[in-house]
Parts: sequence; structure tokens; C-alpha cells
Amino acid sequence: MGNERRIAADAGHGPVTGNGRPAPRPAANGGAARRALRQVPSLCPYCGVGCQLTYHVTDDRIAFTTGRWGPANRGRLCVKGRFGYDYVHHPQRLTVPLVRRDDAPKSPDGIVDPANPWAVFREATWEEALDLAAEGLRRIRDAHGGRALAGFGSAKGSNEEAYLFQKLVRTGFGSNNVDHCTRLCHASSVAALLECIGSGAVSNPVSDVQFAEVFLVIGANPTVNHPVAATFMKNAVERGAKLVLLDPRRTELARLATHVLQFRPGTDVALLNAMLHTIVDEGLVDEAFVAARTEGFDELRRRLIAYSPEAMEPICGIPAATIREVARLYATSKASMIFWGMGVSQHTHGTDNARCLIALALLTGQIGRRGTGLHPLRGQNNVQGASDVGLIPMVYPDYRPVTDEETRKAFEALWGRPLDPVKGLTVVEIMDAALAGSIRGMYIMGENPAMSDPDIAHVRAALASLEWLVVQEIFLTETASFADVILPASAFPEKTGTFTNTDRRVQLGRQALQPPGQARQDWWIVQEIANRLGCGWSYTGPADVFEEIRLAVPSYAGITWDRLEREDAVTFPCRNIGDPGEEVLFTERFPTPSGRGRLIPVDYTPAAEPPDDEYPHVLITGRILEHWHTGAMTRRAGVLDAIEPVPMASLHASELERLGLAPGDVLTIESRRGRISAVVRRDDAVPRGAVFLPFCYAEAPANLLTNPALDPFGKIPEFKYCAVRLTPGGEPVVPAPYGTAAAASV
Amino acid sequence: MSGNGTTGTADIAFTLDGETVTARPGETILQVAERHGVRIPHLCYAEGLRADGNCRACVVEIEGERVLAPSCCREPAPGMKVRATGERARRAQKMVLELLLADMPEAPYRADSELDLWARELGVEGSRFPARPAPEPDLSHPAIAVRLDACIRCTRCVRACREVQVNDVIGYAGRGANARIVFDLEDPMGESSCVGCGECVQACPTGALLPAALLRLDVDAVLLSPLDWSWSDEWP
Repeated sequence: MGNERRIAADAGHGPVTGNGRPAPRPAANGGAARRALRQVPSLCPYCGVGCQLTYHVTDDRIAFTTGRWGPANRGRLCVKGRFGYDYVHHPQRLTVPLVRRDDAPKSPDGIVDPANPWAVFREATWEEALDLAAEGLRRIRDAHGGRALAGFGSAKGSNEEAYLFQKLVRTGFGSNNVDHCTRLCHASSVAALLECIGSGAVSNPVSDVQFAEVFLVIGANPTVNHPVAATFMKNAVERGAKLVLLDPRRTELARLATHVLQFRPGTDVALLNAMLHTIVDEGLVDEAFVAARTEGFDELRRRLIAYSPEAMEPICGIPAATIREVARLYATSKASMIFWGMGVSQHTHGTDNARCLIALALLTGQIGRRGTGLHPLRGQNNVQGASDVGLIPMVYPDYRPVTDEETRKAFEALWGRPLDPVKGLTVVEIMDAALAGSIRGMYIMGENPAMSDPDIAHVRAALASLEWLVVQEIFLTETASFADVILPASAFPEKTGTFTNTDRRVQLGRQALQPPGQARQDWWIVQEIANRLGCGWSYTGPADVFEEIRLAVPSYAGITWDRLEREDAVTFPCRNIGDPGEEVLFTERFPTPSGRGRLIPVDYTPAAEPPDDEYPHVLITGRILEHWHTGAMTRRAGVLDAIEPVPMASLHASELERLGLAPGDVLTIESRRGRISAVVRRDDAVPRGAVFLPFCYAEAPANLLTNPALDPFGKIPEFKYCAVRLTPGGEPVVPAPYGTAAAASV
Repeated sequence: MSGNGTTGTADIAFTLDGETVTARPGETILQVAERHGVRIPHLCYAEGLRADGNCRACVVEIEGERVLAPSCCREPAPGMKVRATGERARRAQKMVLELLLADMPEAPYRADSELDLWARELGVEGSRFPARPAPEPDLSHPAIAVRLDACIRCTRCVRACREVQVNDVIGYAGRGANARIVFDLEDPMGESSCVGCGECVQACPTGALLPAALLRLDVDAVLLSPLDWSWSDEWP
């Protein structure tokens, strides 16, 4: 940018015409007609914030996006939603049904090159592929029973797709072995919330942070994983709200926080119990609220005696005085809100962690009002909805237990089929059962457990051992590599459907493009499989399915498709037509049998695999801004992969020095389960003694290392903590064959 | 929204171009004008951003005041007499547009460049003034094309980055004729701490900041979509 201020003598803008008047400026398009763009109002496919956006579309391609004024985003977007749409047009999109060749047996390390699948798969017609897929599943069902089958539905698909999928498993397979990636995400949070206050969804929307005087962000990194939600948190701080950040990593929000508690990984309960102890000990309990709206206080008080801040300081690493200060701040403010994420939930004691957070809110009455409450930030764009419509082994749509006889009878009546009264297996349990041979066949739609589950060497062996695997996908993912039949499905901009964001807002996504080649709508594929299993469905489209969702999910019953088309978003619970939809919950009671919230005392238990002499470092896994989860979408989005193309491991400067590494060097990371190499990067947010890995890189899959130890209540694995060994050097990192350079030329 | 701090709770009646109109508490003259279909050009002002009052395209006459006032920053007082489309105000508004046009590239980078739209509406067809030297394009960021030859220094991008998304990447460096927007310490955007949220792209009225993809497409870049800003006053 030159800054010299020379004004050229004749640098006028356009020629001066003979009579002294300046020439008119040429029109933007030079006068020639250019391609017009269609504008389709829809949603972002990525995270749980649920930003509304507009796709600007030529005949068959998305040209660009703009932010729309939705209640969750108010016109804002992040880099993924705004610029990460071109994965839809990637040349590796599945466009024809594929069937595994007879001469291509499965093996645990048999990951197929998505650019060249023909050594392993052959093309098939839809008729052949659907018949074959269903026949394999039916054969297992008829010979071994419905419990020999399992299904993974998608948290990125629509409510309609998720609803049909769980209905297929329950009525077509005849078991409750249906689950999805919430198991890896907020399963422990939901277990605690259901147990304590009867509802697993957030109590207040993100936007309520504008009414909060104090808010805690614990085990969450929203500037990376919920960027637009984070902007509202930052706005609140700029207007005077106090932010307390609690996390082993000193993440981006630290610069705006009044208190940063960088506690030792895995010691959440020690820290939180110490805060609870302070609140009880210093008389900061909201006694009227506790007396009227909770139960279990006496037992909790008794169990907290041992958890003074002074006793917990050596465990969690936070000075007692700071613990007390933060507890007082939270308890005494006019409105305090708690946001949390995977740092809380992805532990073998994740449910305990969440129980502590709930107790904080219940003891102090910081719930049931604007600017207060409990907000587990939901990750996927439709993980809330997928759970609401029953993609869960233990509960039916709207969270009623499958073991409850009355509920089961009601669903048997609604669906016209007998239902299995035994609760099903969860994601990690299903993989274990597959390897053990009791689960023989699976149907996986829009999930990538071969990259997202813990201990993926074990998972890949499990998938390879299945007698029959049907995968419905938009790309030939690592999971699809193990399939017998692959069914090419629709990407987000290619479908119309409802999606429920973290705030409980049910929003409408509208189709902007046709699926490529012979790829089809997910809902259609599920129906075709279901009917070949004898289900007898005749849905005509998403609106049709939504009508049934309203019958199955009382919390959604008051929402109509028409209203969604007009208003774009309706918050649930919305039980009757005409209800506005409830933003703030628990204003008067909790949906528990007694109407009260339960205070559950917990004890500190350390993480399952502590570091030792052999594996002296802690591995923390997570995400980065530009890439989404297993990378299937964003590694194929030109802009996003251009910004972060290389698998990296983040270390504190002191660790780099100790290892003798410079940023850019290769580092090998090894756990008891596997080994990867990645390029090292300096990040002083990472605590000493730890290394951070995102799980999005196929070249260096972090989940080769992670520990499948489960939280006993939520059944969620301990992604956030396992023991590893760091060795400088290693295999050079080989880029994945995704060809993002090709995709970037829109 | 910024005003002159006289916000009460009652509506304020005043005269706009001879007609009596009412402002709600906290509304600026410009906002009232928009509600009543009185067309005042404005560039550095955008709904959703704090008003800054730097472009002066929205200046109006207020009876009894010597100088013209930026209507985006002024709240009306009861009985105030405002002339927004009279000769003096229009002459000043058009001069601002003509001065800004002098520095613009040959053809606007957006079919709906707000500067060009206002110029067309007010009948400003070109500029008699010499141009400044045009800054070089910065195409270092994979997502965002930076072509500051189309920048009018309205600072909407600065406010978008610092006050909306609070990423604090875009700054305003230099003074006077030397003033310019910068990324971090005047780094190329692709090497800055920019996180690619694109709020600046969405805020920019002239297309100086655009999605890079648009440079490779043969389409009319029309970013202002009636769908995008279905305005709602309150939090839902």
C-alpha cells in the first residue's frame, strides 16, 4: 500500500468531456447482462449456534453466502458458515451407489482412497444397492434377532431424517440399538441434567448472556467451536458483564475474562466442590430457593465438608482465595449463567462434573430467570434435534424411557409395531459388541465413528468384523471404507428440513441445490430401506414426517410446518398451537417427579489413565476453528483447508524447548493404543505437561490415541485425558488425498 | 445507538422537510427519516453498528444551527425543524458523494455498491476531482479479497471487527489524508490474526472487502439481500 501523496496531474476519474462535465461512471456490470443469482434463505450446516444465512446460488453452485437476521446469530457468521460451503461441490462427492467387490475383503487398516475406490467398490443401480443393503440387514435380523443389528443416525441431518432413522431401527430392526454422536459429546451432561432437573436441554438461550451480570465458561472454547455465540459473550463483557473462564487451557476468551482459572486437567470436581463448599460455608446459599425448589441439600452439605478450597488447592492447582472469590461472585450476582462444553463432559467423571455445575445453579437460585441458568453448548447443528426425536438407545422421542411400559404401548400404537422393551447399546458399547460378534450388522447414516470414536484401531477392527455394513454418506469416509453397500446421500444445502439448535430453536433449512449425480435425499433412502424391512411407510417428504414428529414429541406439538415457513424459527417447548415457545425454562418448577431439582453430591475421582513414567504427558483432544470434527466436510472446503491444511500438535513453549523442537518440526505422539506424527506448533494456552491435538486430520487421527474408558452414567469416553509419550521426529506427514486445490476454484 | 444523550421515555415530535413526524426515544433523525421514506444518503452508518458520523453523507440542516449536522448521530429535540432534502443539505450530501467517487476504481466492485447507489439516486454522475494513488490489492487471504482502492474509510469494517465480533484485527491507522484501515500492524490480511468471520465483508458498503470467490465468478455481486436484514428491533 503506497502512502506517497503524489497527486498526478491528470488522475481525474474518467475523461472530462468537451463541455467540462465529467463522464458518467460505467455501470457495475459494464452494461452486459450477467448470471443472476437465486437467493435461498437457509441455515449453516456446522455448529449448534444455528446461524441463519442466505445461499446465493447460480444454476447449480453456491456462489457465496451472507448472514441472515436469525434469532441466534443476528446477521453474523463465522469462517465455516460464510466460506466453507464448497465441500458440497467437491469432486469426491458420492454420486452413485457402491457395492463392495467380492475380491475386496475388509481389513482393519483397509481405508479406501476416496479419489479412487474402484479396487474395492463397484457401481450399482439404486434398485440393486437398496435390495442388497436391506437384504443383508434382514438376513441378520431374521436369523439372530433385532438386537444383532444397530444403527448410527446423524446429528447433522434433519429432525425428519433422524426421526425416520430411529423409527426404522425400532420398528424395522426390532431393537433399541440406535445412537448417534451425542454419545461422544454431551451424554454425561444430559445424564446429569435428566437426573437432577428432569430435562437435558439448555435452560436459557445463548442470547441471555446479555442479561447476565456474571457468566462462567467452563471446559468450553466458544471462539473456536461456537464462534458467533462467542461474539455475544464478548459483547456482554464489553457492556460490563464479568466472565470467569475455567479451563486447563488458557483459551482465547481469557483476554476478556475477569478471572482465569487454569486448573489441572481432570480436576473439575475438586474445583467445583470447593466452590460449592464456599457457597455453603459463607452463607451464600439462596435458602428460600433451596427450601422451595430443591431436595437433597442436607446430604450435599455433609459431603461438601471435606472439600474446602484450602484442601482442594493442591489438587486442582487454583489458589483457595481465587476459588472463594469466584464462588462469591457467582453466588451473589443478580444473574449468573453457566456455559460448558466438552472439557466438562468428555471425562469418565463427566456426569459428576455436570452434577456440580447443576448444584451451583440450584444452591444459589441462579436458574429459572433471564440471564441465569445452565447452557451446555450443543456441538452439532442438529444434535439437540436428533436427541429430541429419539435417536437414543435408552429413550423414545422426547426422552421417555424405552423401559417404561405405558410409553412403549403409546409408541406401539403410534407406529403400529411391537417394540423391544429393553434399552439398547450406546455407541462405544456397540463397537465392543461388534467385535465380540453379538452385533453382526449395522446401518450408519452421516456418522464417522472410524475417526470420531475413541481408540479407532479397535473401532476399525470392529467395523471390519461386521457381517454387514450399510453406510449412507456424502463422501467415502473412513467409516464407509468398511461398508458392504454405500448409498450416496444429500448434503445440507441440498435438502429441506428442520434443525434444532443449542437454544432449542427449531429452524427451517431450505433446499438450494439438487444432489449431484444419482445422490438422493436421506429421508427417501431411509424409507426405501425401511420398506424393504417390512415397515410399510409412505411419507411424501419432510413436511409429512414433521407432522408425525409433532405427535411423537409433545414438546414440538405446537410447532407447525407453516409457522416454520413463515417465521423460520420456533423455540421448543411449544406444546400447543399458538404457544409462542418458551425461551427460559424452570421458572416455577422442574420437570422431575417431585417438581424439585435434585442436589447430587459427588466425590473427586481422577481421570482413568494418569500419566506415568512410560507415558508422562497428558493428551487433550479437541477442535480448531477452521475444521469440523472428523474433517470429512471442511478438509474438502477450499478456503478452510487452505487456512489449516496440516495436522498439528500444540505445545507450550517450555515443552517445545524441553523437547528441542521448533514450530514446524515433526513430533511423534504415542499412547497405549496407537501412534501418530504431527507438525508441532507453539501455543502457550496449552498447559505444561500436556499436548493438544485436533481430531480432524485423517493423516494423524487423534483418536488412534484416545482412551475408550467410559463415564458409567453417560457412557461417554474420556477424550479429554489420556497418557501419551512425546518423541521428537517421526514419519513425515503425508497429506490426505482430498485435492482441496481443485475444490478451491469455484 | 449514539445520540446527544437527551433520551427520555416519551416520543418526540419534530418537523422533517416540512412534515411533522415523531421519533421514538433514542431514535436518530436518520432513523426517523428512513421510517418515513425521506431519503438521506448515508455510508458510514449501518443498522446494527454504532453510528460513527465520519462520512458526512447524511448531513442535514437544523434550523438555528450554523453548521450542517450528521443525521445518523443526532437525536431530534421537540419542535426541531430539520431540512434533509432541501438545497443546502442536498448540495453538501452530493459533494460528499462526488468527493468519495473521485478515489474509486473504474467500475465498482459490487453491483450494489452503496456509494454508487446513492450517487445514482442523487444524480451524481462522476467526479471532477483527481484521484489519490490507488493502493495495491491484497489477495493474501484465501477467503477475503481486499482491494482498498474502493475503500472510503467509513470504518464499518473496523466497528464490525472490533465491536460486533470483537476479534480486534482491523484497525484504523494514520490520520487525515493518510488514514487507512489495517489488519493488525498493517500485515497482509492472510498473515494477520484474522479469523475469517467475514463480518467486515458483510459491513463494507463498496466491495473493497469481498468474498474472494466472487473474483472468480461471472456473476453480479449483489450482497445486499432483502432476506438478510429482515429487521427486528428487539431480542426475540
